[in-house]
Amino acid sequence: MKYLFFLFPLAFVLLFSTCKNSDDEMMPGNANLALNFKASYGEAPLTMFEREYAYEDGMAIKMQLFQFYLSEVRLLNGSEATPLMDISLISFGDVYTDEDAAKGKSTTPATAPAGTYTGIEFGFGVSPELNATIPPNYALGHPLSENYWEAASSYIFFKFEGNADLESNGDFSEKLTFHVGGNDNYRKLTFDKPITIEDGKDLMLQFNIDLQKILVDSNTGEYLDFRQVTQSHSNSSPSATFMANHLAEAIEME
Amino acid sequence: MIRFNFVEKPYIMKIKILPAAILAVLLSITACQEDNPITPGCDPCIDEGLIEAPYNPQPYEIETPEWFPKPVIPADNPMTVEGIALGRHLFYDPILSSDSTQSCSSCHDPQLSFTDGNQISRGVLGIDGRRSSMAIVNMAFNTKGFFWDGRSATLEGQALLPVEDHTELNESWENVIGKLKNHKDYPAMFREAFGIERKNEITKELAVKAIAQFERTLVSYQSRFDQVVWEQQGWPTDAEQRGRDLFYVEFATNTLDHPGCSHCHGSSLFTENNYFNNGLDSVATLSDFADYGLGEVTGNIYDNGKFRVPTLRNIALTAPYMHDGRFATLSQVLDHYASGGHGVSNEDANIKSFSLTEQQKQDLIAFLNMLTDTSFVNNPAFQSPF
Ligand code: HEC
Ligand code: HEC
Repeated sequence: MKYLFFLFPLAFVLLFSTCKNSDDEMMPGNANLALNFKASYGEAPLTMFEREYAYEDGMAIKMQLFQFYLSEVRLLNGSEATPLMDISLISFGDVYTDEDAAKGKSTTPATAPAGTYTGIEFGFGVSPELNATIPPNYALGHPLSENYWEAASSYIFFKFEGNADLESNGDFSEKLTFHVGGNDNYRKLTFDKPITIEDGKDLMLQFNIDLQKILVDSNTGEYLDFRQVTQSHSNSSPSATFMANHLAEAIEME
Repeated sequence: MIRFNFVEKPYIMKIKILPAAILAVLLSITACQEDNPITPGCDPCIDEGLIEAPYNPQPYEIETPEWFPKPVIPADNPMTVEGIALGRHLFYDPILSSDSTQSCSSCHDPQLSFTDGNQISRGVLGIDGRRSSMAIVNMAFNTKGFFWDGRSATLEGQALLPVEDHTELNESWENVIGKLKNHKDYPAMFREAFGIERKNEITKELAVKAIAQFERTLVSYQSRFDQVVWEQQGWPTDAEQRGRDLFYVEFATNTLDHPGCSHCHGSSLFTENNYFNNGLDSVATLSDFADYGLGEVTGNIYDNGKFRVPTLRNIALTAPYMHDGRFATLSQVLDHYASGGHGVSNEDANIKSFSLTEQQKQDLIAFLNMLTDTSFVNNPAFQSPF
């Protein structure tokens, strides 16, 4: 019995030291950093299926899917860039309620060196380097193990799918499937905003993405006309380029 | 016009599982050393539960071509030649059923790419189940759940269910284990596969591990499609080429016909194992589906009527089609897709009507027929060992 009592503190010390060891695996001066995205359509949270969004010229839409890749996420310090993560797939396909929408969707956290940064950059889509790879190069479950587009030899950078009511009569029978890929539609986005990463302190950077700004040009009012076009499955179609060109406007960092 | 893509050289990738196997061996040896049961009141006599057989498992490597993803093998069930042999026996043995009339293979016949040719499967009691049998093909590449509705996360978990299902084998595992323990061959096979020492160590968990190992060997990658597209052996016929263009067509404008099959049946596996409502049923609300499919598992109303996308490999052999076997022919399947669904709110947006001439239909069928892999269905290693 005495022996046992003696063992107890020893076990404690062991436990403690193993914990400390595992803590140490996270190199000193680092923190976990993730990017969180909340999607909206104008002012309204973006939720799948039920909600109707008023669209241009008397049309309305309902959502089924909105997803996109982010590549080569880097923290910036002036001209210096610290790589954070290669690739991440953000999908709002299972966001059904306002509550889900308010939570947003996050990347898996990456290890970032503590310090102060002047901003962050990432590519919207799959970077040309990664876009030269194919799904069999990855283990199942990896973001790049799917969404490949054989005919275009490209990953599908983003997908927007839903239903449109073209005549304001509540009939959402027009199906919308916009899939955009191809290196020409890859867009690098930079956000200049001070970021401070403290040692061991998890951090979530918050972004908002507004689908309306992708579909409707905020300056000219030009919009994707679903009476003319309901799908884009090509890397060179005007609608794909139109959407890709509006990404910078559509994404903001909080 | 989309042309076939070619790779430079075909070669086979071998997956090394030796380290995992050695680990498992060591683990099971230590586990065995710890338990030391004594037959009560029988000190001097021989332990009748002791199994006499060698234990020297040979690691097994799944062969996959370079255009396939890497197989996913659970760390706690490394594949061995002996494990697969045991699994194959169990798969084909009616000992798993209550009246010794059915085995797994009754509903999963290798000649039909491991389906049963029936609209709805029927078990030992002569009672119909509620769904159509599924092909057991390329299971090692699915990480998104098994069954039409994904209710089993693992193949091991899946294999537990048919035995006790009243519409399938209708037997208790307790009885099955009893029969296996008293069998003349199985105790030795269990020892050879898993290193157990005594008959009473035979469990349903080990039985389904063996079955899952066998199922993971069922890899199909030698169809005419693989030969022509990936191995540069021969050329597609004109019909096959046109069918392939239709299947994959992407450069579609609003006026161009766009069957869009590859959106859901994409990748070299012809499925990415995702769940969709592919527009089969016209229902007033999402609560009116006869079979909720994925929704039954998740409890999410938007998942009602969604089913896992099946592979199209060996599709010519697996009629009738869909979870309820409603279509007898591929021609009917294509008519369904061309009609563009019913506009149910969670029907996938990629289900859109398209025009389909008789010629185009034949072309698409010619392409789908390219996915038949006769070397798979005739592979001697996959047939009944009895
Ligand atoms: C009475 C016919 C019947 C018997 C016997 C039977 N199955 Fe099945 N099997 C089915 C049906 C029907 C399904 C689809 C059921 C569902 O989705 O609800 C299925 C599905 C499966 C799947 C899922 C495949 C996938 O892609 O998700 C596997 C694996 C499988 N069975 C293996 C087995 C094994 C192993 C046995 C023996 C232990 C067995 N089956 C016995 C009819 C049967
Ligand atoms: C929106 C995704 C989607 C699209 C697009 C799609 N499928 Fe399917 N397919 C599915 C799903 C999901 C199932 C299983 C549905 C069920 O059983 O309820 C299926 C089932 C099938 C089956 C029956 C397989 C079996 O084992 O019973 C065939 C054949 C098939 N699809 C061929 C095609 C062809 C050819 C096209 C193009 C014309 C196509 N599919 C387009 C999702 C899709």
